[in-house]
Amino acid sequence: MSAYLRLFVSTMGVHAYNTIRRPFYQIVLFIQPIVIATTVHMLYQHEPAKEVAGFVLLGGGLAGIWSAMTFSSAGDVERERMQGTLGHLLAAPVPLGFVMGAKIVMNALLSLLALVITLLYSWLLLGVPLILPHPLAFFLALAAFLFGASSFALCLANLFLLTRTAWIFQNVLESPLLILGGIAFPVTILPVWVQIIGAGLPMRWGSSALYAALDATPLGDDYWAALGRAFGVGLFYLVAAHLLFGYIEYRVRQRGNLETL
Amino acid sequence: MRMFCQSAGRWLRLSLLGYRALFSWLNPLDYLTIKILEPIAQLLFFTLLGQFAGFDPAYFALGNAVRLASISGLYGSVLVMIEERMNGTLQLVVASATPIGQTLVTRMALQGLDGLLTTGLGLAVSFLFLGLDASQVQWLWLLPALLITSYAIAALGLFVSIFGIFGVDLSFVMNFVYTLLILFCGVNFAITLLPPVFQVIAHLLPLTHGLLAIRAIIAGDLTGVSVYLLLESLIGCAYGISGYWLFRYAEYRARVQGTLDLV
Repeated sequence: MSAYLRLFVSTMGVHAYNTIRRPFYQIVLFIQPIVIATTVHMLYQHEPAKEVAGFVLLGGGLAGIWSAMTFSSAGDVERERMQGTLGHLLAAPVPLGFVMGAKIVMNALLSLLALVITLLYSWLLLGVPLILPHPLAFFLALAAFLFGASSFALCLANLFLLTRTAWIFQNVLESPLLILGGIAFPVTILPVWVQIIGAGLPMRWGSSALYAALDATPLGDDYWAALGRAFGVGLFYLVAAHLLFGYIEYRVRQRGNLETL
Repeated sequence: MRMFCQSAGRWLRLSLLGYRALFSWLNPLDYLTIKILEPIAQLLFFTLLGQFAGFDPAYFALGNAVRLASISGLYGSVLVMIEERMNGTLQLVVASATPIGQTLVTRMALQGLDGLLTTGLGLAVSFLFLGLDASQVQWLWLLPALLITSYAIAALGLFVSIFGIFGVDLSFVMNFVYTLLILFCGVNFAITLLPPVFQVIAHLLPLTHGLLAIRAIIAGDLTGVSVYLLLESLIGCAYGISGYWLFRYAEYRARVQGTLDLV
């Protein structure tokens, strides 16, 4: 057990060091949140500051978190492939899902920097400070968002194992998931059938819980329902990712067709 | 005349070969994913953002449809340089008899055209599904305006590519410039909402005047359109010519000092 824990922590450490030094990751952390925060701020600049804060801070921050997560989960598989180490990871005694899990947990922690950058940018340059009426509820919802996003990213990493063009999917998936996840605007403005698709994403419930936690009124049932669904759907994706890793690992070992699609 | 035709044919062949070799053309599924799905997804995201904020979604749809030209014009032009470096062929391009600026201008040619097609796709989606009104469009003006804007952005791409030859990380510079285009060029909100310093920057960037012209052309009001297009052309030419001569200088410097890829 302690060996597994050591492996998990050391994988996270090496991954953090490699990730933070990548220029493209720095772009995702800085640029995406700033573009969305500035755009939303410009759109709402005539509204009272209190109304603006939620969308500017959370819209930019959550978009940054989500972009960092998708780009990293796909990019990690792609980098292992380009460096020629994907086959080694698959052949190692430790399950591939365990190593990818450690990387994605680290991605989740690093992606929090996007939220911090957005908060500082909004506070210092846009003059929109973060006011937390329910700090505990906010951090609980943030944990739910990160858990859901990590589980979903772990599922995506499975699919990216099967293709040599993961980088294209990571680019294409970014905007639709920002829309379906209600990251910068509520999903209620979308057609019902699109909302139904979005309901299957853990980020959709995580973002709802976060927006509800910023409301100054006492926490209502909507917050708790969104929080429960965020953890529930996240758990579903975690189990699915575990099963998929087992299946795909078995399949590519048996058929010898890793990354051949 | 015959020599001119031969040169033009060679130039076109080089453009096509460079484009097909370096821009995911060899895998049609990848190409279509990048060229169709991703632009439409981006267009939808910003249009919905504008709609939620209570603005006219058509304003956002049009701004972002035209901005899509930068996926080919800016990203495409800069990616050529990134790919040359990644494939280890940058030294060969510099060492070849043709000046590198000329090679890159040749490759940029199709990126501008490609940007026009991407914008065309964005406009078609906006007209059909996002409420952009096509009843007043001055069609004869629209194509030249889109062409000028797309090539002006591609010229900016050529200018930005120069950083690659000095060893600067091009992905970072490219994305930084892309951000400037989204924020400062009136894509999602009028540039008059920006602080005065940023408005000055906006007027020095391609896309700003082109987008103003295209908005007027779509609305059917041609007042000031020719001035906007002239300014857009001049800005594009300024970036293109500066980029070309900077490449000539960088090539000279890299040969003399032997610092290509090392700075």
